[in-house]
This record gives sequence, structure tokens and C-alpha cells, in this order.
Amino acid sequence: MRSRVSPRSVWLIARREYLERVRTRSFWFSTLILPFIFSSILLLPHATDVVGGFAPGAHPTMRIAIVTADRELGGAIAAGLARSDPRGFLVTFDSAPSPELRADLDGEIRSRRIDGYLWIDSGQSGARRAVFARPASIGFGVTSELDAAVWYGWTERALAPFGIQPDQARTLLARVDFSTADVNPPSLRPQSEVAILMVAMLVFVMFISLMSYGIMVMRAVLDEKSSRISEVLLCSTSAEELMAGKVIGIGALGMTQVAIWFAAAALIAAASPIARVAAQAFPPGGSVIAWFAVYYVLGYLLYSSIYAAVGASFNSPDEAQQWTFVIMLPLVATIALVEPAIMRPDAPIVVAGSMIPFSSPVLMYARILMGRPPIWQIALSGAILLAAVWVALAISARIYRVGILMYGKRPTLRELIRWLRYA
Amino acid sequence: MPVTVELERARKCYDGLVAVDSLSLAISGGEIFGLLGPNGAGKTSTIRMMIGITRPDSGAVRVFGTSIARATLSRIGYLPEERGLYRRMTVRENLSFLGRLAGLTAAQALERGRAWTARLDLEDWFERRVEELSKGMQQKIQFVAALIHDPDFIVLDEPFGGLDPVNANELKEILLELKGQGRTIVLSTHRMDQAEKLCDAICLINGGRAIVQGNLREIKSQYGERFVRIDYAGANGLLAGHPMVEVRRDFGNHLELKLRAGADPQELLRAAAAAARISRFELMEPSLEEIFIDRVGRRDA
Repeated sequence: MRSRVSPRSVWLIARREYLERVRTRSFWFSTLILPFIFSSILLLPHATDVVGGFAPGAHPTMRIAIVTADRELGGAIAAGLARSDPRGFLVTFDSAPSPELRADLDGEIRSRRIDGYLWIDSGQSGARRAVFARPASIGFGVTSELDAAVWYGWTERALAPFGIQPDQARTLLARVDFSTADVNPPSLRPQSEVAILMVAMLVFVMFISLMSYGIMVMRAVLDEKSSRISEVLLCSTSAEELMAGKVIGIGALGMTQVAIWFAAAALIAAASPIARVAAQAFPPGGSVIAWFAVYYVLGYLLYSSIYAAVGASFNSPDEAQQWTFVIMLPLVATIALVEPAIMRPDAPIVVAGSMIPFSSPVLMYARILMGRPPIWQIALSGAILLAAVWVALAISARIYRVGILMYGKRPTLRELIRWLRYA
Repeated sequence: MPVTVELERARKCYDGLVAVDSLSLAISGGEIFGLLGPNGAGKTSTIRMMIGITRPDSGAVRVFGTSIARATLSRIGYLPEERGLYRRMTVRENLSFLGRLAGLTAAQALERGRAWTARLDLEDWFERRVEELSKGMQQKIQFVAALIHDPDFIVLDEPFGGLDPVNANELKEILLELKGQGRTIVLSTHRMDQAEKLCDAICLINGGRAIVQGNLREIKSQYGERFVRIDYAGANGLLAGHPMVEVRRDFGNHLELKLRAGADPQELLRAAAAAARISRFELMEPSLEEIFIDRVGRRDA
């Protein structure tokens, strides 16, 4: 009768654990620092674009002077710019590069009569060389448009003596749409380096969450034990409910953090052209998030239940230190396999690691993101993980029930095993 | 009154250490019951079995006539010896959480929490974090937490520890009031003088075993007037080695004696008067402490 779990008690305990932590400054700090750093890196150059009025499409018109002795080259570049962004550029031409002209143009930028100038001075060698002089506030978007226009313009000009018309030249120079394709039809396989970076970030987030929230459960148990609250709570609830509530409440906190990270990533992707490129290269679709949720929940249950038992067995974080480390070890060792898991998802050692429940949440998730591994491997790894979670919960609940009422000396391993047999 | 709590040859071991050994006791409804004994006697282990935190290894524990079930839990209130509240949460949040866990609705928990804190002059602290409260205030809040769900059976482990005399007195009044409402109260303490003033019945335990138990008045009358206090002058070693004296404690001018069974105090008075100037000769009921020392001493001997 006593051991039957009341959902209401579990809910109340989980809710309290969640609310107590979700309103702390440290939670919001640790949650927001990551998106903040990423958005600063990705959005800052873009933000100065906006402030300077040079955001692609959003800016009125960039006033650009093209300086070249070759008027036709200048014209081809101007035509290229007009094609890529019809209203984006107002081009003026200055012939014959000279130091005096350059000094004049620098002055015009400073007095804001022009927004920049393209300086093409091949000299005697005929080498293709162009410099875009601009205020520091002009960002990546504008320069890459110019880069492309100069390259096309120059090449068109170079092909003209062979009788090739500019529009023919453009057709000939069209970029090859190059991609890789798997024999097994991939659903998620990322295509580019940017995408691999995205996968690495997702795996990293998984790793960080599993590690930090497992330990948070241990600290919560130790706190309650040393403040003797567990004794008060056990008077109106069971140890199983207490442990379940703790694990669920703190797990929900972890989920909140990850959800905020995903949402922030979506916002950054919407606001930053570079991040948008990454998002296109590797669309973070529903399955990416769903697999994350599955492996996060299972991995978290495994680690947090073990940590709950450790917390209940000892009286202080100092005493628990040694065990904290032992439990963390397999997860830390997993780091070494993350790179192989991304680069060679089918390597034997990676396959083996993705079967071991302590590392499978990280490694199998990485493999799934990198192109779906054979179904039987996913199923086997999932079954092993589920079984491990079940065993960990059963053993931990027993140790927890005895441990939270034990004070005084730290138990030996033999005593812990004896606790398993207590009614 | 029906029996509220019953232990029948209850035994509890922790890692080979016997905490409670074959303890039987019965606590009647509506009485204040003192569970007494020195530190480490097994009081807390006994209490834990009474309120269902642990189960006995052997023997039986019945509360309200049945073995402990979830429905029973909501009728039990428990004040642990060491105070346990969430320090970073406010008084309101603590009481609301503990009250709801004990079966109240959110509104009930809030209303009762407010009423109790007002009664204990802590209403200004209702929205403050527990860590801002003094130790004595925290203890009063803990007391409220034990009572918030209106339990019929209340277990208080060392409730007076850390309270100043004013607060201790306030607590005492509340306990008597609760007893007047027909609730059963178990008071666990090593301070026997406090138990003596409040309790109707007691169980003295040591080393996990009951040493004396039963109605306090009856226990004392069983001992009868076998304790004598004498103030005297002159004569060193007054009554030393007298055949009627079982235990003798001499303070110089003041002598405390325990008489052997069947001894006649009048005869002792005559013997004392013959040897010294007697300014006071008093027959006393033994205090609980004396009974305890007497019983434990006898067992050890």
C-alpha cells in the first residue's frame, strides 16, 4: 500500500523542484550565456550593417565608385552588381588609378559622399587584383556580392576575345551544384562542413545536459538529506515518489534549458544570414529534435537515477566526490568518440560505443544525425539503454530509500549492497 | 479511549546494529505520551516506525488500528528533531508545499498556513525566505508544518530544543489545547523534567528496550516514597552503610537517599537525629530522572 506511487505527490514534488530552480539567477545565466555568445558572434557584424544602413536589401543604395583603367571591365562589374541586387548599388566610374585619386576617394568616404570604392589596378603584370575600400561598418554580405561581381566581370572580359558573349560566359561559368548522396537513402545526412558543425553542437548540448543535470539531482538529494527535509517529506510521501518527483522536476528543468537553446537557435537563424546558411545546410527538423528528446530523456534517467542513489548514500558533496567522478568517467570517455562518430559513424568502435548505455545517448544520437545507422542497431542500442534505465531505477530506488535516512559514517560498498536487500 | 498507536515486539536493525529491540507499547487516544531516553536510546527509530517512514524488521506497528497505509499518513503530523525546511523558499511556499503534500488543497494550505503563522506572531514573515528567519522562528514554522493538515496523531521529536522560555511556554499551551481536542501526542525527548510536567503516560527506553512504561502517576506511586532528602549539620558520613539505605548521595550538608524496599522512614529519621542536627527531612516521589538512573543502574549492575 505504502509503495504505491501517487501521481499527485510526484507532481507536487516535481513542481517544487522545478519552480525552486527555474527562478534562480544561476539557471537563467547558464541558460542564456550560450545563445548570447553565439548571437554576438553571428549577429554583431550584421548589426553594424543595420546601424550603418547597409543591410542587404534593407539599405537604401550603396554608392560605390569603381576605379579602373579598363572601362569595359568596370561596366561588366557594374552590370553584375545590378543583376545581383538591382537597387542595391549606385555605381560611378573613375578612370586611371593614381595615388591622388585614391586619397580623394578616401576623403569622400570619410565625408560620406560615397560608401566605398572598388580599386582595380592590375599594373604591369596583368594580375587580377581588386581592393574594396570601405568603412569598417560594411559587412560580409556586401563584400561577398562585390567579390562575385568582380570575378564574373573579369572573366567575361577575358572570354570576350574568344567571341564569347557575356551571357554565354555566365552560362559557362555557372556553379556546379555539387552534393553527395548515399546508397542507403539518408533522411538526415548533413552535406557540408557547416552542417557537421551543427551536429557537433547538438551532440555537445546533449553531453552538457546529461552531465550537469545528473549531478544536479545528486546535489538536490544531498541538500534535502543534510537539511533533514527528507524526513519531513517521508512522513507524507514515499521514497519512490520523492525520488521520482526529484528526477522529473530537475529533468524538466533541463528540458526547459534545451528548449530555450533550440528556440534561441531558431531566432538567431532567422536574424543572421550566416546562421541561415547553416540552417539551410542542415535543417533542424522535427526528427532532429525528437531524437534529441528521446536520447536526452533516457540518458538523463540513467544518469540521474544513479546520481540520486549516490546523493542518498553520502552526507556531503565532499564524500560523494569520488563516486561522482567514477560515474562521470564513461560520459567523459565518450568525448573521445564524438569526433569519430561524426566523421566515421560506422567505425566499429563508434558502433560499439553506441551500444553501451552510458555512451549511447551521445554516440547513437550523433550517428543518427550523421545519416541513419541500420535500424537493428538503433533498436538494439535503444533496448539496451531502456534495460539499463530500468535496472538503474530499480537499484537506485532501493539505495535511495535506505540512504536518505542514514546519517553518520559513509557507507562501504558492501553496506550499499546490503541496503538493496532491505525491505 | 481507543488505542491510537500500538507497537508489538517491534524490532529494527541498521547494518547489524539493533536500534529497537522487541519493543511493545500502546498509546491511548487523547493522551500526551512521552517517549523518553538518553541520546541513542532508539527514540527516533521508534518514531520512524510509528509514522511509517520505516517498517520494523519483525513485529508489528499499528496506527489507528491498522498497519500504516497512505490514508493513515494524512492523519499523522511529524516534527523531526532536526528542522527541515527549504531555506530558499518563503514561509508561504514551504507551508503550501508541505500542506498540499499532506493532502490539502492549495487554498486550504494557504489559509491554514496564514492562520497558524498569525497565531504564532509570524505573519510579517509569511512572504520571507526561511533562511532570513531566526532559528526559533524556523522551528515554529516547522511546528506549523507538522500541524497544518490537522492531524489526529502528532509526533514531536525534541520540540523544545532551541526554543526560548517564552516560546517553549507558547508551544506547551498549544500542545495542551491539542490534547483537549482529543488528539494523541507523542513527545520524544531526553529532557525528562519537561516530560514529567506534560505527559500522561511514558515509555522510558534505553538501548532499544523499554525500561519503564505506563501511566506516569502509576509509575511514580509504584516507586512510592522511597526517596529521602535530608539537610543536616555535623557528622561526616551520616547514615553511611545504614542497612535501610540502598543509594546514598552526600553533598556535605545535604543528603539524598534511596531506601531499600520495606524500609521505615521514621526509623531512619530517628537514626539520623541521633547522629546529627537535622534541619529538614523530606520524603519525596522520585523524579523520572531518578527512576531512569535507578533502572538503568540496576540493569548495568
